[in-house]
Amino acid sequence: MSKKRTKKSKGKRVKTRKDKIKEQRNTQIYNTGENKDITRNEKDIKKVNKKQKSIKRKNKLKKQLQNQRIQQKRVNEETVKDKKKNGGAKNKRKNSGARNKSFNNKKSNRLNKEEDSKQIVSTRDEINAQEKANLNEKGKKVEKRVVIVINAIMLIAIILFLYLLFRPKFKDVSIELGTESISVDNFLVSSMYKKNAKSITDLSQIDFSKVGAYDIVLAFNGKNETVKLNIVDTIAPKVKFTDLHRYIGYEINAEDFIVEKEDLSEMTVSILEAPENLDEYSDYKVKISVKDSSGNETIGECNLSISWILDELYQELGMPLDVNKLVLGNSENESKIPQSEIDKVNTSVIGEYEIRTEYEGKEYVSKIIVQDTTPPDLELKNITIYDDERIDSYTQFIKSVSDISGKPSTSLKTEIDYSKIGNQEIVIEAVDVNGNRVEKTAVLTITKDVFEPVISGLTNITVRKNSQINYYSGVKAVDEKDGACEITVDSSGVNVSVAGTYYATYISKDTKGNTTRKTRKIMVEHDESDTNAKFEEFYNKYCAGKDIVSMSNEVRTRITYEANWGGNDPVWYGLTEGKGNCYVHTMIMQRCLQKAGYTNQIIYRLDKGHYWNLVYIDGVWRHLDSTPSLRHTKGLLTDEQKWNDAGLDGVGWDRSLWPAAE
Amino acid sequence: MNKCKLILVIILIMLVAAILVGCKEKQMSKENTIQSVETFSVKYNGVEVTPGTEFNESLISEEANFSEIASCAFEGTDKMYTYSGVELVVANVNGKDKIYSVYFITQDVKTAEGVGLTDNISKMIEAYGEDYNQLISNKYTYTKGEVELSFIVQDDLITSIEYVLKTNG
Repeated sequence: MSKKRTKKSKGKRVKTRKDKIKEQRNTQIYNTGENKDITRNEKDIKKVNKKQKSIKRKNKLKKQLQNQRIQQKRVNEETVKDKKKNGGAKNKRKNSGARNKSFNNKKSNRLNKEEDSKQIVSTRDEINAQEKANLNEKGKKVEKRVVIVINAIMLIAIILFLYLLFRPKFKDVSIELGTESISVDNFLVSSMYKKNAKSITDLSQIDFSKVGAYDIVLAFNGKNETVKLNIVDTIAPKVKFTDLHRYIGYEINAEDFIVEKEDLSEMTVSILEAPENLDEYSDYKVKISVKDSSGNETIGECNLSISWILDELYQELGMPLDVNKLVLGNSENESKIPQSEIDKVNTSVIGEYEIRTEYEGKEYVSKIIVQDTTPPDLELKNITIYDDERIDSYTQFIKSVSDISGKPSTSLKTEIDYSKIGNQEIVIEAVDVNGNRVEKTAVLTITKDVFEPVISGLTNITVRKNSQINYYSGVKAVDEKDGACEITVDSSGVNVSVAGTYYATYISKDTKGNTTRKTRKIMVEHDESDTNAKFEEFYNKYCAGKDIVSMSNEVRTRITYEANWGGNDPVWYGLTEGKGNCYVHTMIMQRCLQKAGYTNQIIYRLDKGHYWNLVYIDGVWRHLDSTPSLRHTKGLLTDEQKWNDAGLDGVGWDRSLWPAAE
Repeated sequence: MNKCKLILVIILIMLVAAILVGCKEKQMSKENTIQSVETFSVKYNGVEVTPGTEFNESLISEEANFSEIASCAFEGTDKMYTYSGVELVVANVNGKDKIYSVYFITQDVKTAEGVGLTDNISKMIEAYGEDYNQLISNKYTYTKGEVELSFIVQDDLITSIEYVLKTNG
């Protein structure tokens, strides 16, 4: 056995690279200065693992070679033995001494050691070479495989591409009659062609209500293809059949057995099977066929009952029994039913009743089923409320509700939204004891109370000075929601001790706080002293110390013209309102002339259509007109001058009544 | 450097041009102001009833109380149309029937500037200013064009409002 050679240095075992790696792997280095953990380098670990694996492989090979050597040795030993057996010299040499033997042993040991070491070296090389060779082989194999796979993939891709390029993009399509529309997408063999596909044929022109075949031209990337569009009808008509009760003599009509039928194309109704004679009171089978124009067929088998009386009659609760509905054929058949049998039926009680009749030796039993299928009578009414009001109960919407079977129950089906101003629908349902339901709708209107009370009766009041005023007499405030409302009066601006015009304020508020304010004119009458005071004020301010003509100008310009005589006191009117007609101006002017000490008279036109003053000045009379108008000449005028004044309109005055102004 | 000078010159020219244009516009607007004569305008129920304008009774949907008296100032008669809110006086002015005066009856009617009966005198001054003519002690008259607007005030409250056509009489 060869020994493992280890490096020795000063008695200590020197660490190999392998040991160092092991150490590295199994230890953690702490950086005491920073107190940090440095973890293993993962790459190094991988390297180490790899190396370990190769070392293991090498060791394995080594072992194999060692075994081979051992065997070879054994073989060698055997040959040596054989040689010994065969040759004396060799034996002599052997026998010549143990020294030779031991020398030889030593030598052979040494040689063996050398051989071992050489072999170890060669073993390592061999191992490495073998390993390399193995790897190369493997690598080559893998390479080959990869190339094959890539080539295969490329080939497949090319084939696929060519297929996709040259295959048709569109296909024939069949659609059911009645299809609403069709687009290019329906004709595509794959949705990936969608982007560049378009229809050359106008698809909107196709009549989908008719069966047929159409050639459709479509294009993909400018290349046209023609496909077929087939409109087919494969759906049979939908038919609701019914059994019939008829009297003898009835002629079978296929349509009588059909309640309703539906198909997109025209339908034909025919009788497939029917009895030849309907002479007897019996049940017969009838087969009815309904076929559309494409040949799709629906067949129904119906029962035709030939009788003079129905087997069964549904009678509505509370309605009188109409025997005519029970019998078939002519009304004379009614007499076949005994009255006692009819009286058995109580149409006010739900249930089943039997009427037995006998005719021509045969007994007929008819069932009368009294049922209630009528919903209650429900009548609703609309309601309007204000936004601060609430509905106490939904029953406020119900005007009336009744049913033959008794008092129905009612319920509210919608929620009332009190935040919604305006109209909203309220649905109420009534259900009778037999489950018949009815729903009705009423309207709830919610309005905002934004209207203030309306105050009425605020006519102008004229009162004497220092009198009491009844501000509330004849005045009221009414609110649309609250009705009569309170009124408060603010009369702080009214001074009944001083003549003049004042305003009193009337205020009324409703429960929502909507407030109305109105003013009322209060006129405190004047008296003579008020007029005098007013005149004195006017005269002193504007006329005192002025000549007649200047005074006249003041009156003319300060009192504007108004078609108003000034009532009972034209001076007061003119001086407080600042306006008036010729009479007002004349009267004020008269006071001014009197104040100034001038003798004067009031003169007027024959028809009293105009007034002015006549004043005595410097020994003569003169006309003086203070009315603001271009038609009246200003200043002091003689009779002749005044007579020609445009404002007189040719109507003069009675000269006999007034002194001449020559 | 030359470029900078050029830019400066251009800017200066533009400034001068802008100033000149502004002055011209101001002058023109002044001329326009001088040329157009403003007057008080008054409407009742949406119908123009400014004194000096012709009166078309059919334009006002409300029915009026009508009366007429011999006119002291104009030819013929003075015609009074009394509505719920105003009283109109129509007179023969220069040969045509024109509105002579508009007298407010209720506080619901306001001037174009929003002043009505029972308003405080301060509102009148706020709307029309202090350039009034006080013909008599409690009467305040504003003139615009051919129309006079008069307010009678008692205890600082407006008790009468009237538009009157200036007659220069």
